[in-house]
Amino acid sequence: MKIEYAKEAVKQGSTSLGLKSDRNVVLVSLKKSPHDLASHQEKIFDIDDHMGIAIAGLTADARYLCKFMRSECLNYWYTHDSHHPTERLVNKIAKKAQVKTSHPGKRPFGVGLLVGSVDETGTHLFETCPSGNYYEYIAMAIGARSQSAKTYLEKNYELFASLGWEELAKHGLRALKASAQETELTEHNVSVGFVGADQKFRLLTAEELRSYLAEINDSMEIA
Amino acid sequence: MISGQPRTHTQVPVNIGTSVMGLRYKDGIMLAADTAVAYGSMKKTKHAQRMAAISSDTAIACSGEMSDFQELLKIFREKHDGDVIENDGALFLKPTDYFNYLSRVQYQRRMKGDPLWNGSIIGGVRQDSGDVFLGMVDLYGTKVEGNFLLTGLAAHYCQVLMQNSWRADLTEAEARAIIEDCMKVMFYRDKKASDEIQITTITKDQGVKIHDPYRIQGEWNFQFFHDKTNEFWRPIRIYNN
Repeated sequence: MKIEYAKEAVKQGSTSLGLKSDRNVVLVSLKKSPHDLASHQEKIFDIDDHMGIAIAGLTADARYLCKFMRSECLNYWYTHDSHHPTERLVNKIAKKAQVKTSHPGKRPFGVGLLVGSVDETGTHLFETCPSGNYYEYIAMAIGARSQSAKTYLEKNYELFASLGWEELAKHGLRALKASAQETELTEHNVSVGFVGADQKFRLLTAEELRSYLAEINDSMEIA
Repeated sequence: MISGQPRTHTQVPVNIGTSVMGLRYKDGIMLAADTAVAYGSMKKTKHAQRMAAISSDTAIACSGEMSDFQELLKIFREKHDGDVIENDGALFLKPTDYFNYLSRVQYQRRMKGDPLWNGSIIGGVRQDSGDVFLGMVDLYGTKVEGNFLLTGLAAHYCQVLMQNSWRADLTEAEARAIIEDCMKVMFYRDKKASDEIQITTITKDQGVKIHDPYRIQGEWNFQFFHDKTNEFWRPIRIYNN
């Protein structure tokens, strides 16, 4: 039962989505602000040069897992002088999550992660779940009202394979716009992170975001 | 071991293999070692293998303490098995991963004050990208990469020989000739070396291939040796008696 509530916590969190091509992975998140005077809560974190995560759910749990992933990547780098394989790291998170489901006195993680990464076996987009399951996708959206974003992604995912990160990011923003409904997307409440085969993970700057948002707003109005 | 005292017998080498060599050539990597293991100055066995495959594209050759070499092989076996057991579509451990891992293991053991007393050369050719790697790790964990590498006494005797004859486009036969040349020098100069040598090649096409050991031919029939032994030294010994 606890797991059902934990999954509910993921659904309460604002939308995060990810999509990938052959050479790039892009993560997009809608950030919430608890109050007009407060800043927006960050939802995309970089883990290592080759990996980043987008979250939906309890930020505190996400930060705990983020710290864990960062230290695992550093340890792997120290011992092997190479990047941590993606699925093996996701597997470690799943193991941690599973333990929390089967002990009385423990609660499951109230957070879902989208892990975007590039490794020896190509680009990857994983979703982790409080239950200890994990899934791999070409494109996925999690969090509140993510269904509209999923619908957009389902309609367009066949185009993604050959795209560069700029085009992927635009698709991501359009998908997020579908979920955001009346909320206007600005450089303050949107985060975009991306990683490529020859591009380290980084977040888009506010200026870059503003120009992409302007571009998709124009094209959406025409359509 | 003295009762009540710390264990110290693992801190000195006992059964020792002498120098190993590694070099890059046109198709990949060639590792070489002789097959002798010495116990003090005695050649305890003359038919030991001092090289092994770590994975399908990585191999190691070790000089120094042979029981520590076996320990290293055990560590690598576990590492490789762990990589296979994950069964997630690829083997992620490449020659460079094993190399760096070896360096960390060696450094950790050295800091424990109980080093694995080896000079190791790791060579590999990645099956996917064809990247060629040759590296050497000593008993302190120091990493060295190069086109040709030598451990032990060979690092002193054969350095210049290698420097003068190494080229990036060596054929397998030419590389083997250089190795045999160096091994001959070691056999003449190093009392722990033997004339039975073994070669491992790592190439993109064939992966790791450990060749059978064979003997190199030394030349001892110099007039110099006859003269010194029979006419110069013997009279002195007779004189002393």
